[in-house]
Amino acid sequence: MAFEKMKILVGEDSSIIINLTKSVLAFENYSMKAARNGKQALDMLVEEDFDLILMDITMPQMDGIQCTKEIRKLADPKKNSIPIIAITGNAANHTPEDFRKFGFNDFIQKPLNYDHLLATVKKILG
Amino acid sequence: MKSKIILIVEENEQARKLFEHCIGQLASVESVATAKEGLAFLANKAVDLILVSQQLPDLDGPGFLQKVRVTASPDCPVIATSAFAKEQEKPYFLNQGFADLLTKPIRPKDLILCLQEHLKKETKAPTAVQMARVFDPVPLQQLLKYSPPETLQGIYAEFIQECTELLQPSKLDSTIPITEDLLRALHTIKGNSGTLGAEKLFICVKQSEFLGRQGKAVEFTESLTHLKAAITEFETFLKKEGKFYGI
Repeated sequence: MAFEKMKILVGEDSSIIINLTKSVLAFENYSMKAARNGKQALDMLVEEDFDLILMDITMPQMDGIQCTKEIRKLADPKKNSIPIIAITGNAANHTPEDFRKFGFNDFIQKPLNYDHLLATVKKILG
Repeated sequence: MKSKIILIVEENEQARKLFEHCIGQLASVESVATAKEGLAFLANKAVDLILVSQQLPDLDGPGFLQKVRVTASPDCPVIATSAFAKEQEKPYFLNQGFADLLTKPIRPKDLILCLQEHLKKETKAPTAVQMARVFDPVPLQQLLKYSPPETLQGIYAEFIQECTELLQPSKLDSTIPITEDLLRALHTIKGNSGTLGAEKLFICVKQSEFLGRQGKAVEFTESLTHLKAAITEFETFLKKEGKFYGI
């Protein structure tokens, strides 16, 4: 039986970062879908199963922090425990402890270093 | 002086060995044989002075200097060495932006004196924007591991277009209203420019976002003028030099 690809949901409003991330994740054989805001990410997670979420903090409509809080409140234990990695352009605003309190499993900073991003994803997904 | 680092870019092995030996008494020495190797080295490490041959196999001296200026250091002294130039041609080299010219064969004593003189010169503390390179090649080198050049070409083009569009409505002759939309746009450009290695643009946009968040309308408008200039500069750089870096 062929291995099923791990599925990653990316919540990110910049199409440039979406495109870059898609090709980097594809290189490691992960499949990826993108949501352009927190609301869309939440809806997509409810509809579909994913193995991990990369969540930008600054997004229109619903930001990454709010979206993560909503995800942790979902009833389905598989959905509400999904690993979420925060992507932040304003790391100075929050401490690592803050990110844990918001419900994130880890965080990475922008500008993105894709070697680091992949290593962080692999650490969680194997 | 020993704490200083000098990079030698010299295609002739014998000359390179001689330079290494002489300069080794004065400073730490790194040496490479091609322009490409030199630029790759500089992408990861800052040096205090560069000695570059004018007869490199892959790039001429002025071409190398220009690439150093945009991708490595805007002010590190670069000294030209040449087997063909005459001492009288020094003004031409200074005009090109070289700090000095050494004509081969070079006497070790002249080499040491010349290097000492240029290493001693005090430089004024430059601002972050002046220090910044137009392009930091490291993020692109990393991205090229994962994505084909044509995909990245498209992404860089999209980035330029995004920058241009986002700042389109702002007429820079009057004070620009600081809106949440504009700040959000700047935040996006900030993340993207840093990720793509547009270093100077990244520093400019970071400054604009900061001033905007502080509500400093006049300084904010002025910073957008610098940002627009940085966008144009990066666009021109990509057109002219993108191929050299693999996109």
